[in-house]
Amino acid sequence: MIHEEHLYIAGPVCFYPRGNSMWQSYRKEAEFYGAVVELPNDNWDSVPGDSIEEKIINNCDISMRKCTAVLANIENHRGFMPDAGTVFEIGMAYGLGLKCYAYTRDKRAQGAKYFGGTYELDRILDKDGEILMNMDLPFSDCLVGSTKIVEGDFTDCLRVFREDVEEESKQKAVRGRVETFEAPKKNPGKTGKKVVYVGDCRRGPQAEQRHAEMKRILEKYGYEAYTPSDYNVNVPVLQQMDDPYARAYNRFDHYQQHVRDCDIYLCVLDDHRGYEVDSDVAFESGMAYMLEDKKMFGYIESPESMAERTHSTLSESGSPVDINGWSTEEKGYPVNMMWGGTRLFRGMDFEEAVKQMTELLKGEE
Amino acid sequence: MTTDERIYVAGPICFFPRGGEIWQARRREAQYYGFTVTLPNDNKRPPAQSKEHGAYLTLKNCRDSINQSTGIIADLENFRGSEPDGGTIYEVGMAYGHDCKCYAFTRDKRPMGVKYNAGTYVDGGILDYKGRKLPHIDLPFGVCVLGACKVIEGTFSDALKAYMCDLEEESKKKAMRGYSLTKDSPKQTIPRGTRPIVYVADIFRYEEDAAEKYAEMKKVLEAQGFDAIVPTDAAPGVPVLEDTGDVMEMVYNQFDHYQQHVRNCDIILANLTDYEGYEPSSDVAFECGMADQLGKKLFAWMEDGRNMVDRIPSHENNQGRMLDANNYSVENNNAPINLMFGASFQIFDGTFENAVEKMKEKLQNV
Repeated sequence: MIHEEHLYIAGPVCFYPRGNSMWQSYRKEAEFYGAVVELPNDNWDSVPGDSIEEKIINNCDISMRKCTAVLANIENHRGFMPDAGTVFEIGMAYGLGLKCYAYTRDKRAQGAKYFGGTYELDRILDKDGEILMNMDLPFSDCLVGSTKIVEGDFTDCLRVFREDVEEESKQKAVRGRVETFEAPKKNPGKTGKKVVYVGDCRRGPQAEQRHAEMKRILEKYGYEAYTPSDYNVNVPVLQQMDDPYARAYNRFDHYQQHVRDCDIYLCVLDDHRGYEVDSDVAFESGMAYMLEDKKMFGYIESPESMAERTHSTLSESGSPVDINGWSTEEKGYPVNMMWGGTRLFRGMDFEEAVKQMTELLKGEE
Repeated sequence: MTTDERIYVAGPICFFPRGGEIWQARRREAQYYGFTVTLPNDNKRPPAQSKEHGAYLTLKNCRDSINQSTGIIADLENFRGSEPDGGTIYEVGMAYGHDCKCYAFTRDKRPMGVKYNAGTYVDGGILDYKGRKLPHIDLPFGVCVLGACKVIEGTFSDALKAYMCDLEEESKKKAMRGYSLTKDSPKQTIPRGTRPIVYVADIFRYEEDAAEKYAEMKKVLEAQGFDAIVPTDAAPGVPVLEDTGDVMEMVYNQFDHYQQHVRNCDIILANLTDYEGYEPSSDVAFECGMADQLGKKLFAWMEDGRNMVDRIPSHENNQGRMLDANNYSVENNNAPINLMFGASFQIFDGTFENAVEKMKEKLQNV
């Protein structure tokens, strides 16, 4: 029943002018139908944390743990990707086993809705010359795999969620109906070494080359390393299926199993097709954070803050805003503050980041 | 992406001015997303020899189309009163009996107690415009519609999108490790004896004195050599759930009893008397369509069995079509009700007792 559902409402509206009142209007709408609502900023005055970014992630963590479902706005944000913080929250929700719903006003396939493509015979290159993967899907594998995506607005998504809750109620009374799902578990590594999974943007020959080099570096520093280019040995490979959603789910299954299996999640947080982190990486980051048994590190090649990269200016209240008047992260933070629980290395090459990570880990042993 | 899905588009728009065009627009929209669409008027048919023959051919067309379908999307708009079009619900019942995925849409999914706009409020309930207590004022539609269908508040487009979203989720489950779904195939749960089993699909099932009325009806049927099931009976094999507080769970359980009654009978005897406005009860209409799909013998009675064009005030337009006050078509098939019933059921004019006698005669002649 809907009044037993606790909804976490995620989205980038907090960066918009009047964002907080928009959030509250979403809350009121969901409450109108009987749901209990948790917002990412509900516990701000009491939440622990020494910095804004720590308080933000702790606040989301506290709110999320009270919830049964997330409803997220995956509108594109400063480029082609959805807001990375929102996708991070979806990853958190998935890691906790919540029902994941999202909405977008454009659910067409990425090949159709990408504005900056250079068309070749059977593929599209993005504005940086990278091959646009998942051309036949509306979003990344992790979003498609984990989340029921509704074309429309918050109201539409809430309606679909309510309808599904009704169907779940009916299913409780269906005679002989047994639905089972064996939740994936963590598998041990092969070598006894610490297992590192590198969350990086993925698929295609350019990504494979980059991942091979990352693995070489990590293995040099004594890790058992995996990247998104590796199949997870515990997950079957079903890429011959005709159905694009089944194939996407299978790829997602490999990625989420990598996240479960690793001891250390090292995410690459550079901007991807705009000014946001790749949404597969953002999802995995949130999931890894919520699984709690991972050490989390982030790597950003750029030394600039988010405000610098987006050429933000100061608003009348002294906060940085981008050209659309939307807030960018404060205090020189390089990325969405959902990574406030992640130790970041910035302005260096990948090997230097691995070296520093190794030293930090040795210090903690 | 939806290349394997064949949907049947049902609704009362065929009675509206420009209904054919609206139907085709819905077909085109579904085709845009990759569905194959079957419409009730799709297949070429031979020329009709009479009005009754024409109605039969239309019904056959609907049956053939539904039997090619994997899903139905039905328009639950209220029609000449507070109930949805009975013919549409009949089609939903047929589709359910064929194991189609059932989706429906409505612009108003509020509970009936809220949206019923001709009620009189009394202590403990709402009386309808005929002075009868409205049943299930906490539900937006009848139990069978809610039990069988996923009901979407919105338009055909919204229902189509919900259908597609659900297909995507089904696709993902094909690749989900450790996922399985099993459920029992519905079966008859009453052993067959020598006497035919009649299910009385009646409209008074929610009334306070329903049990007494139905006990009398059972006596009448049993005296004529039938075994009888009535809607208030518990269906063998279907548990009677204690109230869990979950409205939709309880609705499904009640629906489960009704649909099991239809499976268990040899003959359905339906009360097609106008329930609200000029339409039959949607529970009854659903059960009739399901019984048709399952190959039961089909009988009904109506308190007023005059032809539909005589029962519903209507005028003839310059193309010879009979229209009601809203300019919606009134069927003129020499039948008292929508052709889905009119062409499939033997409908008797008058009382239940009269119907039982005549039904027995008909069966003996067969």
